[in-house]
Amino acid sequence: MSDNQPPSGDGPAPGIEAIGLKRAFGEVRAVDGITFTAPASAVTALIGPNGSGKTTLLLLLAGLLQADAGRANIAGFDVAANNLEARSRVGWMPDSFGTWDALTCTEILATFANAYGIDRKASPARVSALLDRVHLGEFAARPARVLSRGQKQRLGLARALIHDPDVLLLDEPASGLDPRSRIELRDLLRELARDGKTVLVSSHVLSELEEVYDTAVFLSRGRTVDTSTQPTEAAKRGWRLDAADPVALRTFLDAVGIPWTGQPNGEVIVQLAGYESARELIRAAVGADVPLHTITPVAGRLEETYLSLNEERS
Amino acid sequence: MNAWRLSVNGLRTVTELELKQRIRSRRWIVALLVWFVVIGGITSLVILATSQLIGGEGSDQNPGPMAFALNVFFVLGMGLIIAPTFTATSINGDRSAGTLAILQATRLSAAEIAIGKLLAAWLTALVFLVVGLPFIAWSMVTGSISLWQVVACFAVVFVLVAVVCAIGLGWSALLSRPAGSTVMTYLSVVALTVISTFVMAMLSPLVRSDDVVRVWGVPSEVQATYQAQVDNYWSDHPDGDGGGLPQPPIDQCAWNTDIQTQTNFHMERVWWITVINPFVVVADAAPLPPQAYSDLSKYASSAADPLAMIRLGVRSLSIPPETERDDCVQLYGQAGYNVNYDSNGDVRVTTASGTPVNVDSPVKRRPVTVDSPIWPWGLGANLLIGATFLWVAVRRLEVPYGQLPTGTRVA
Repeated sequence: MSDNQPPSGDGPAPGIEAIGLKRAFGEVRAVDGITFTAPASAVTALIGPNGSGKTTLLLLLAGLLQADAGRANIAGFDVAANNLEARSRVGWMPDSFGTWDALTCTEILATFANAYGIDRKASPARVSALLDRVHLGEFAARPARVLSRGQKQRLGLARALIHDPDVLLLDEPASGLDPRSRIELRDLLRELARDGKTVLVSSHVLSELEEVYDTAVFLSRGRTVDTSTQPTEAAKRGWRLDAADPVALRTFLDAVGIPWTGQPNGEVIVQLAGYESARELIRAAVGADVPLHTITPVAGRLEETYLSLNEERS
Repeated sequence: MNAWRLSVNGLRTVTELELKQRIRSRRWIVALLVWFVVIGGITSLVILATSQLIGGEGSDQNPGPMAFALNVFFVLGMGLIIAPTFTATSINGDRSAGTLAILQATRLSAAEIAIGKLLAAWLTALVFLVVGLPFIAWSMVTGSISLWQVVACFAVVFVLVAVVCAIGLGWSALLSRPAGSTVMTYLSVVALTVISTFVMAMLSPLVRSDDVVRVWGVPSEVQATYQAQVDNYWSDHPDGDGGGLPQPPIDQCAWNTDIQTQTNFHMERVWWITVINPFVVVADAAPLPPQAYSDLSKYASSAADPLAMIRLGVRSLSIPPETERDDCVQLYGQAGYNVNYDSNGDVRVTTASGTPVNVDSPVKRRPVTVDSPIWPWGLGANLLIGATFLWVAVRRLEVPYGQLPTGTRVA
């Protein structure tokens, strides 16, 4: 009945493939038509406001919830028809989870290694390597109850990685992490993508995804939003400008007729439509000998899109 | 089916996890120590009390069986009380602690999680029972109880504790709140032990009926005359030893010609309800000394053995009321003779000094025997209940979830 080989097709199978996924809880349609693919060897950001169905989508992909309609493939395995095979290839880290307080970090990871059927002789080496990878090596023999929230979060990440899954589903992995751990998490996600994993990560802290994601999936009210139709590039977004001579910058902007708003620290904010307009502005400013040294978007691309979703919602 | 896939590795993983999490805490050692002291104290009290009350100078009764029975029942009762605490919040508790879904997401099957939890809880409960074994051994030695009896009783207790563990596991899977599942588990234990027997007793008016009965007796005027003579004797000799009592008019005994009815409680229709009671199961399963096999009622009354008395009581309930009644031989009883029945059901009457009296009664009484044990039915019914609750637990743990029970989150 169960075939252990992913179905052969043309080219490498995408890590996650979701087609028309729907799932309702009673009257609440938590996931109401989600279609997307997350490629292997890439980090895919999953973005949407609270209640947009992110957590439910991850439960569907982790093989814990049955979809009412639609289907999903994990590393080529249908989550419904081949649940166990799909489940074995997913590393899932929920947004909130508990630990076994009396067990040591090593024991918890060893338990999950056993639960995935990893050879009991091979698991100690794997466990200690993983603990080092998430910088919990010194806590290997300590009970999980002494861990801080951020450390527990990193243990949870190690737990999701114990069976070397093809697909990683991370629900708010950065919550509770200090800035240094966030950077380490970012590097780890990049490393995993480089190793060929499919990484799907949801977060509310968009600035952090900004630096790590390759593609993004936007959710709104349980549906995927077709971002190609979002007029993000054409719409005006805020850019922050600063120059060694603020007065010269302001005079220049007035001269070329670009409306600006001044900031208390001397910077000015202007509204520009896309990168082309920004390039033109830089060229003109340099041509006019304005000592411009900073030009940067006020918000990241993800944040811009996210905010435009919220506008659509209201 | 994926949910029922079982592997040694999977069971071992879950059982180890549960045992480590449970045993590592210091409370566990404290609880075991307290338990050791409590069970030691209670069994010592029981052994001392029974040796004071039963037996002694000039008595052929041995306090051993009573002490053993009380101790076995104490251990069973405590087992039934302790076992639910290990499973009644096992699944819904893990769910609210956020440790269930991450296990379900692994390769572990629902059956491996459920049975692993059951095994761990059962082993934990067994440790508590085994701690009591030294004291049971003590009452075994002082009471000359056979090792076979101890082994049989404890084997049955162990199985019954496993059933209660499974019931708790099922409730913890069915109900989302730990408080609710704990209450329901304890109610289930009460239903098995107290309510089953209570329901049987309360059903007795419903199985009451007036049945035609054939009576072997003397004509009513002869009976009245004899009764008057006996009454006169006792009023004349208030302190008499019964020496000059008139001979009962047994030569006039015959089958009564007129149809008589008698009110019977047909407990044989409802007695089986009580067979599910764990205490009845253990009592019925306890091996008896050889002399009990010929006549259980004689052994039970002479040996002061509660296990035998419960067995006798339940089996007596299962026997339909007699359709023939011997009023004649009752006259002997009223007149101070000893009336007994032998293993064939024939009546044997002796005088107070032991001289046999020749009584020719056609009415036989069915003796209560131990030929057909009832405990397999009780244990079987308990196992069926346990298996049902385990099945419920596995079904409720099966992923991917279709319909989610109200008030339940996956993670």
